[in-house]
Amino acid sequence: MGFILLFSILIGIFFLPYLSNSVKPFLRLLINLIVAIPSFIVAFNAVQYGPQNIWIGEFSITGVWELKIDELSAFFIAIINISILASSVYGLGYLKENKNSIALSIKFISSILLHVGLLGVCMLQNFIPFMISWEVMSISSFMLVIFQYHKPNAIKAGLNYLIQMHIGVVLLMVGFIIVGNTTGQSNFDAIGLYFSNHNNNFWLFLVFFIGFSFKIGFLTLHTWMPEAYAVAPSNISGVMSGVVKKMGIYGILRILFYVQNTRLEIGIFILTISLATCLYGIINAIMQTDIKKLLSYSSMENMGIIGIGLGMAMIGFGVHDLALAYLGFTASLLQILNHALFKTSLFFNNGGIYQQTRTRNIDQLGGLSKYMPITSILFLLSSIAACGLPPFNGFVAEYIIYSGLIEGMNATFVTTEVFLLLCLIILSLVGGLAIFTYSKVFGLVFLGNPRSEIITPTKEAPLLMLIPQIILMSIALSIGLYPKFILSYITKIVDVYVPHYSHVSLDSYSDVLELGHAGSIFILIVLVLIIVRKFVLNKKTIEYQVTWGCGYETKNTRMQYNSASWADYFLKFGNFFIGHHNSFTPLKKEDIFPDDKKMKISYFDKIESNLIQPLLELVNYTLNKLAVIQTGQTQYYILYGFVFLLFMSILTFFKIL
Amino acid sequence: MINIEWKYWIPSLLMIIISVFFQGIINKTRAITSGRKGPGLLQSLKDVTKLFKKGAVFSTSSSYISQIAPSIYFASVLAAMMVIPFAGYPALLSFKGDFIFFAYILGIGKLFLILGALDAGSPFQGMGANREALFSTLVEPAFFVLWGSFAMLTGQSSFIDIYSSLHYGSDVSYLLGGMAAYILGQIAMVENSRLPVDDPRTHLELTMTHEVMILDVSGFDLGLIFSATALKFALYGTLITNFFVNPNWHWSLSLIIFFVCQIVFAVSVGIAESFRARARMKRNPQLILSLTSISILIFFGALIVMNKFL
Repeated sequence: MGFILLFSILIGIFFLPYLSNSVKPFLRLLINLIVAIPSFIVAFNAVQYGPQNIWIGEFSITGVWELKIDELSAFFIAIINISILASSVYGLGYLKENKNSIALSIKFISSILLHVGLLGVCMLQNFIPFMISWEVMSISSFMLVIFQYHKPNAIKAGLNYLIQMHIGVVLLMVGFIIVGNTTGQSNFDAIGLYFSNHNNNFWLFLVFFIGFSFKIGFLTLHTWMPEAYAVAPSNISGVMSGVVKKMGIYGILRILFYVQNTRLEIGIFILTISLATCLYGIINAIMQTDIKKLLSYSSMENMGIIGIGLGMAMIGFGVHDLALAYLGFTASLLQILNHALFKTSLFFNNGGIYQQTRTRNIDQLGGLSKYMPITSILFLLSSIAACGLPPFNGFVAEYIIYSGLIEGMNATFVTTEVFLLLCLIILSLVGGLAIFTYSKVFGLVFLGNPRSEIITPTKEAPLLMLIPQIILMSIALSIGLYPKFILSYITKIVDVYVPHYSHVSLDSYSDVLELGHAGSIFILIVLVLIIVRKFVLNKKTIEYQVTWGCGYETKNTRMQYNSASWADYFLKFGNFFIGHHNSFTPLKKEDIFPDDKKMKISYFDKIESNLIQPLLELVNYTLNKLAVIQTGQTQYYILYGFVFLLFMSILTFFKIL
Repeated sequence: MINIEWKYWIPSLLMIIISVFFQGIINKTRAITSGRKGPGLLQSLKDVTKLFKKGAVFSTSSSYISQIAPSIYFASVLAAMMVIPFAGYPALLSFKGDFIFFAYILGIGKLFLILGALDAGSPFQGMGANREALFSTLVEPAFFVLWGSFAMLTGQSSFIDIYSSLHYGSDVSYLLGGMAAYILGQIAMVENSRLPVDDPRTHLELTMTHEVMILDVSGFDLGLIFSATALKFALYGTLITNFFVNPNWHWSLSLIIFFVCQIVFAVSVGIAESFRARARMKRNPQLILSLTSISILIFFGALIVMNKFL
């Protein structure tokens, strides 16, 4: 079975370049389906009947390959398949005008490899195969990021992504080598063995954590993200934000479940990092003028929320409050799914806008809801979900986090209580700022009047691009209205890791069922009100007049609030987190008849420019100094060889080596 | 599931009744303190009914958002109302963590109000929407820390359970209740865009916040927004009142205290607004964030009551 699968993938990849451009996306969708359906079935079995061993083989170079799907893998496999399939369907409608056959072939082959790589990461249990799969995933996603290679910043962003991923890979390798050398085994269970033999689990965990964090984009390791997402095609950004990033979370979860002690410290560490990520992400999201960059900073916020759940859970283990651990893991897993649904949908949506208007700049858009009503409704619904507002799925996860925080504050001791309080403050603030961000992007892009001329011929995005969003958002809404169903699966996963003797259940600390009811009642009230309103207004006179402009008649669309003005008030006290340049020529006293004035505001990532950039310069400086030995003349290199041999023989002579 | 027995409707009915008079009491107080006679207590009800009967004018730049936003705003307040209990009478909807739902459902209403303002494409409405969005964002932590502390203190997480266990606790809980009342009062002022963050009586678009957002809303929709504002005051008033009403008291006593508390709240809003000027726009964020620090005091108060601190 597995070999038939592998064979069909290889055949597909081999024949894809020879097909015509219009058939390629269909072949890709077909291969995605061939991969997705069996993996989904096995994943379903894994959740129902416990871990499923698929295949064990051994190769001389790489060692044992063990393919296994347990509950955690199954959950991620489901998310990967949903997101990748949605992206492939979306791809049928996207990029139609692109004629470059080779680029398209590379893109489709990379996306198939990405799918396989993602599934491999979730299934493979041994270190070397895992890293191979991880590399397949990273490199294929890199190929997808640089799809628009003719744009200079695409290559730059892609390389940035590739390099940062490989710093992460180095750290992961270090972690695996330490574990492999100490225990003599090379599968994930060896990590558990290592952790149980050592009293301080923090340092090895830290190595893995940083290694995986490059993928997730926790604070200070996020700098590749906005650029890479902005240059990648929208369906790729959607998948990258929706699932590729989550593989980092998957890795951290794997490691976390093996950690035996120093759990409290690890929990506090994760919580602190996550809170900082959350706050930094959302504050920078407010400032962005590029929709995709805004969405990627907002992804950062969501990763923070997932991390908060993990941190809570580890604190829960650390202080033996299993309820906190239970709620933390549940919220985290649910948020992983939620984010994959709404953020993928948001990126897809943006692709539709870009296809019609050729711009992602918020300040050039406006009034799109009149041209693209369905796109606008889908964007609105996804933003509500992304803000974590009822009746959508994001709220359920936040609600469980809040329930956990309250439970933890009640049951633990003062130090952790203060941490959880901080968490409560930041989480509620971030929730509010998310509303601030999404009301900005929706309000400025879809409402009001167009801010520039370019969007006049705009029409609705193609149906094939809308259908995946509709499906994703219906799943999101159904989770919001009936969370019990999906949570029954998620709690099965959590039950594996939180000991059974605790008798903790979700229902003793939260009422998710009632949450769904409350959401439905809200929708019902809205519908009733709208119908009543329609009925009342039917008999009344309705007029349409120009917007009130304070008596000023000659308004133009440039007078509307724009991205900079929306951010301005916030910038006044949030500028600690935000890097910005203002250039502005003020009005002078003698300007009785002022001529045209220009004002330019640009934002940059403060961490990138104040922390990463100096570090890179330092590395560059040292490497340049070292380049002295690189003379380019052969005799020098032969000399180096001699020196090395001499050095080695001296060492052996004195029995040091 | 929603409880439809008669006694579950009582809190909501009480809130609707008091919301009719709330604005009237504030206006009357303000009129008396400035030496005027002032309009009758039912003036705001008359205004709203007049609006309901009127036709509507929409902006030519507006889209479907303008059509649905006021309804969703009003619906969010109604949904929030459904989770608030009064004295021994449980709310229509009561579940663990319903205060989270309360805050977030008001959040969705706020989101649509903001979008409704941006829909007309007016520079002034964007300004107001921006300010209101920021203010309501910043006030959020205060609310959560407040209820988080009470949830921690009582070990419960729904309004009705928190209130009832609070009244079995020590007298210190009444002290905390007093502080909570102050914070909730201030939150209500911010949420309803009253003094000191916003002055509803101002007539300059540049200095308005809430009022400028609804410049292009008229007729039925404007009526909905006015009713929502009035209801919101009643909601917060009831949250405050509950701190001082023991669920075991006789219903008549509870009822009297309910009306007394609400009237005192309305009168104090009126008095505060008569003798206070609006804060500078620049200072508002600090002013709002200081509420969070007072809530943190409640948190530490709760820790002391639980003998966990020191």
